[in-house]
Amino acid sequence: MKRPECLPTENIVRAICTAHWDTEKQRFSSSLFTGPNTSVGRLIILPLNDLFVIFHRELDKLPDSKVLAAGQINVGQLQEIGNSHNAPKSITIEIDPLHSNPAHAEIPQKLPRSLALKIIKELKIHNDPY
Amino acid sequence: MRDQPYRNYSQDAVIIINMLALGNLFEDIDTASLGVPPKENKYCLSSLVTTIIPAVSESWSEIKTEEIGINEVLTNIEKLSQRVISIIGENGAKRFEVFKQYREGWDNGYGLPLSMRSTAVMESFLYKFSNFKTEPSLFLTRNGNLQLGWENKYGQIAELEFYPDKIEFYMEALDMEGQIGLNEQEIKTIVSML
Repeated sequence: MKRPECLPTENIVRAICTAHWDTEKQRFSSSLFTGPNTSVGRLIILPLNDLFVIFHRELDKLPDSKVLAAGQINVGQLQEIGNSHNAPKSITIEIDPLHSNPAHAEIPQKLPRSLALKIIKELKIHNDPY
Repeated sequence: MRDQPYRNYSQDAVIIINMLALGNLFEDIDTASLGVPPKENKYCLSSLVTTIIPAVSESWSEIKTEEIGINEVLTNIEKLSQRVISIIGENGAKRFEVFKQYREGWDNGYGLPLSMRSTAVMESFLYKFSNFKTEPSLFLTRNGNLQLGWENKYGQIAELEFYPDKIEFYMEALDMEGQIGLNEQEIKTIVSML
């Protein structure tokens, strides 16, 4: 069954971990958004600090692996980036609440690297407050 | 095709060193001593082992002896060679050690552990190409593969993801992305574009 989709007016955040971000060289990997089934958090459901608590609980499972930041983008803006890409791609954000994270949603599509990197350039990066 | 994650050291891993490339890179290997291949395009690896191990890298800790295709060597890489560390830097080497600890599901349930084959493919590729304009960053992808990312002199991004049996690439300068196999010709083609 198809899951309901987030509205274009919503803002979402993607957890950024050590594997995705080389903080020393300030480079991101396209794998942050290539997917498929990229997990994001919905800011309309939980505030950013609460989402960081969840990200840390879910993703900081190893001593040296941790959530470093969260990348925020507006759903409509994300979809526009997909539509205006040289090979246009329809992007949806499907609502997928979990017991451990009621704000959970997923981008089901597999995105090309070029598009993922375009999205990453538009992210507003929030550093870990904890 | 998946290989064993790092945490399982008991398994041998099959991978990917192009023998022609090895021949070019390690000219001190006496290829004449290899003799005639026992079958077309095949060598018995046992005749290579004592020659290759000291020449290539201290990181190639285990080689299984059996007959294999000419484009493959059996190996098991537990750490990066000094040569690769000199390319990706100490920061990259540190990141590699972190990635080795990642367990299945590290990316919201989807991430695979680091692939030994991916590591070996990257090692062998970097013997063919190391002329990076800037020191590349090392990443781990959800597929358990190592990925290098860097920029050219104009700040345009390039990425290479090392799968066990292929390399995916993206070059912003050429607005091109795709994948290549691990054969000599395709490797040469991609190297010429980097």
